[in-house]
Amino acid sequence: MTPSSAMRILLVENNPDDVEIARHALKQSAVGHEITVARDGQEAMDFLFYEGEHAGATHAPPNLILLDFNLPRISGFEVLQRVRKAHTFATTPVIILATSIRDENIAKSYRLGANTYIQKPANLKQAIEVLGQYWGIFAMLPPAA
Amino acid sequence: MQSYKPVHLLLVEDNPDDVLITQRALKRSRIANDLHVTRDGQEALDFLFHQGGWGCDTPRPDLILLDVNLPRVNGMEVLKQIRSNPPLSAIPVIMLTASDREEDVVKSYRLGSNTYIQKPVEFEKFLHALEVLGEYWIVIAKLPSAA
Repeated sequence: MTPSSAMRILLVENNPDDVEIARHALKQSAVGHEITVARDGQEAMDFLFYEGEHAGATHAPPNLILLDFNLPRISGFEVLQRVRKAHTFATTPVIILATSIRDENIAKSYRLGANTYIQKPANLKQAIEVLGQYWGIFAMLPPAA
Repeated sequence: MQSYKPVHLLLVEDNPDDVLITQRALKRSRIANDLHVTRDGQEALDFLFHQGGWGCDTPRPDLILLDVNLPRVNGMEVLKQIRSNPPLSAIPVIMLTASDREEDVVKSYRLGSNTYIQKPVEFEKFLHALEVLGEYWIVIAKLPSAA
């Protein structure tokens, strides 16, 4: 849980270009991390709760979740709600990556317990680099529950 | 290029040196912001709830930087009050503290703080942390508008 310990990031993103940008930017920001990608809300739930193709798996739970909002099958809102209800992830930082800047979506995300709401900017790479520095170097992540 | 409207930051900090460093770092980051300082937890609550000399023209902060160990009312209690009052409950709160006690980290996140940051001891590192914090929250993040 010290700032220097490795981040285990779950990136929930269905756009392959954005996945590549995020991977690259996190590498650039020189933060020790491992990253798992889920391509929709259902895959994210399976990974988090050891269901579906992850049934019986033994991976450590992520300590940071980057969550796109517009996802196939299960939406980002739904994933956020289920994550916050689960004891294991009650304190895990969740960062929303969204295209919408509707005030109601922003306020709703924070109320549901998102730690940051980020509108995907034109320069996604730079935003993810700052995010990587912020969470990987300065923030203290809660220890696994 | 997007233009930024001024962001009202509330800093709750009883150490005058840390207040000065924060002011300096935020100025250096060239981000339009309006920094308000309260020196203990009770003053922070007065500011937030427009009481104790803070009038109804006191701005609602867009972002709160909150120390944990504060005179009168501690930071955890301030955080609890923010999260349980709907007009304030969505405001991002960043704990900025000297403590790295695991129970403080866990409790802060459990009570709904948005990030827990241990203040770096070295001056330059502290400045750098605040610059990254400013860029992350004011440039990159979208803050909730007043309910």
